[in-house]
Amino acid sequence: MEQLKNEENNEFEGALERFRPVLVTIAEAMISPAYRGNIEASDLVQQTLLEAHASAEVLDPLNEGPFFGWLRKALQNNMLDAVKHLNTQKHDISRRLRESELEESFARLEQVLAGDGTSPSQRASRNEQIATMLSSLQELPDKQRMAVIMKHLQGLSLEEVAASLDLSESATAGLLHRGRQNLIHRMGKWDERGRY
Amino acid sequence: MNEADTDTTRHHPPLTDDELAELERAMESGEANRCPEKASIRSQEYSDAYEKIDLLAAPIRSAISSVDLPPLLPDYESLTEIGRGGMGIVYRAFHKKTQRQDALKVIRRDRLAGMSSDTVKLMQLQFQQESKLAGRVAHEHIVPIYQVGEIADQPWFSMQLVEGESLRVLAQGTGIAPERAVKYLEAIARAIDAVHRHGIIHGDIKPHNILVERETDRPMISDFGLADFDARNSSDVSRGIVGTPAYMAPELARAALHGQATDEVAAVRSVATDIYSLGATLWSALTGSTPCSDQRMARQHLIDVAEGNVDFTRDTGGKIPPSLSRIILKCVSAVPSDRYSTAADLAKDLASWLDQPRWHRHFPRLRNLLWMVVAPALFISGVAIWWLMKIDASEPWVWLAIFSGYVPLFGTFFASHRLDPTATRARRELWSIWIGHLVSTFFCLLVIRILCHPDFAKTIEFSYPCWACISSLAFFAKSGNFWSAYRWVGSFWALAAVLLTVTPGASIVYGAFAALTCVVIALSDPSFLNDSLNKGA
Repeated sequence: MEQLKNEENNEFEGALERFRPVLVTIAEAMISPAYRGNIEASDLVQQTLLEAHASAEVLDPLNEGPFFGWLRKALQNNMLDAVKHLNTQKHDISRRLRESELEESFARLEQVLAGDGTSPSQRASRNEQIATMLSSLQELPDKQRMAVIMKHLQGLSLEEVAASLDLSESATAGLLHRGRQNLIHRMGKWDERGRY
Repeated sequence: MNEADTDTTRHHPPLTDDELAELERAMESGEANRCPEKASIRSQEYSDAYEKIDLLAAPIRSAISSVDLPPLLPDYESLTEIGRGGMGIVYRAFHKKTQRQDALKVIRRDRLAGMSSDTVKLMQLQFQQESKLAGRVAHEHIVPIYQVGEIADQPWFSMQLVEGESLRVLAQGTGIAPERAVKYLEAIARAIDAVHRHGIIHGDIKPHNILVERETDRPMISDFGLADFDARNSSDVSRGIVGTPAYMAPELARAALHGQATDEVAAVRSVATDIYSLGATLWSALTGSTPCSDQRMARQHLIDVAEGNVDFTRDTGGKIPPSLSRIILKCVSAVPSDRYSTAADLAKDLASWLDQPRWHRHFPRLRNLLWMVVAPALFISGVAIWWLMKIDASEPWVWLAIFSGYVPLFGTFFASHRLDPTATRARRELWSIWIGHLVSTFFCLLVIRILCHPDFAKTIEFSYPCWACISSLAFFAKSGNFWSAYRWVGSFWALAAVLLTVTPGASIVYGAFAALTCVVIALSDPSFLNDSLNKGA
């Protein structure tokens, strides 16, 4: 009995840890430059995972769809809380407006991952690939990861990424190139490991 | 990365950072595949990797898109984001030459990301054209455009920075007072009419796009340049590109839903679709809610709108006066030809709604006084005249009894008089109609008295039908600017005049009719009904 419970715990633990890198990447991509330095993506995810621990009894990690949905919702709430907390500290209109933007973003994210008329199997395989990419991103060196997130997840141009990282455009291009090669390489490894 | 790729790496020298930067820019502009002669195995490998990552990232990118760095413009400095719409971002920026704070709008890069380069080109062109067109219409309720430009393929324009809140923010929650909402929308409808007369369709009228200047309380409409794009992209609702189509006319939603070509969707946009959006915006300002409130299922909303499942009679807090509800329903009619044909017509209706008397504000106690005091007094005076005639009382007493009926009427006007500058017109009209009624009655009676001399009983018998005719005229006069159903009251009095020629005891019947009229008016004139409506809210 005791052993069974331990096994269950381990399984739950493992499922949570599998989601951690995906959530961190999402959080990193969503935190706008205005908050950079004020909100730490990994802290938000840590908090979210701790909350998941607390609700371990009601969550079923084997049923990945709803489980991930729950985690995303918890992350959204934590992020909104963080933003609201910042807003009460500084009365800044530009920030207040971003709150609703954040909510909309999460809503759209849900829509994207829930599929858009493609067949369930197509959707599942696409979502798997996306999740693999998001989680592999966390294995990249910081600069490469930031460059790839800005370029591909946030949709900035080379010029803007360079300005944001305070690097020359050619250096940024090199960084992006290495980041992408690295990412594809690691995604291949993920597939071999058979996760997702 | 598979092994074959690693193999090729050995045989070809790695690309330099400068070459990489060039490739990166080429990929960004979507031109990389257009010059195959330049493509080497290395660059092919490069673009494959780029595309693989970008394809996987695209859905996430279009979903989050929370980051956009402000463009670097030579004339402007210290840009801070103040708002963000479906296709554009607005910054507050300081213009160095004029030393003035402007609002700066740029097209959202993240929205352009997943689109073909032709679509992007088209959108950039449209963005510039529309902003130029909007700049051409100078109107006190249109945010003026200062400058239009383009930097690094990113079109931008600057406009007046309106210090204040959007109508959406003002109305959020409980909505705003009908008088205020109508005042704003009337001004905006006039501005939109000016725009239409220049052959431009706004296409994206909603409370978010109406800014109310804090100091002057002046509403101003903005967001012309992007209007087209929102409608265009609604076919991409499933991809989460467009927000809620809440203010979109059903015919537009249908076009977008059926995934028609972009220019076909644009062709559906018309004066009528703008009128629909104006009506939906007014409804939203009054109720504080959105026609489709759930943001999460944009596509479902589009279907709802297309099928006409949006209920604009929904009024939970009882905040919409019935007379305004009629105007809104005319705007949002499912059949475009049933809507107002021009925004000017709508503005006119809204202006006359504002001008309309609202007794609950001008004469707060008028309603109660009317049925509790005036109605019984008129009936009693009728009975009194009948009794005086029966006992053969002297003539002056009968005259006194006849005109005593006016005392409670004017007394009521006085008693419920409240100083309210906006009511001057209504008050003046009311007084002149009823003083006119009194004067013509007096002279009518005088004339009949002379003609029937010396038979006083006959004078009274003849005078009642005439009196009823005068009342009929008075109510027809009131139907013009007051409650339109007064014309039915007028018709009733015209018939009553005929009836009074054959009824015995005409004075009692007349008194009863007059009392009945007072009660009917007090119970059903909408300008009184608003009163109870507001109390309920």
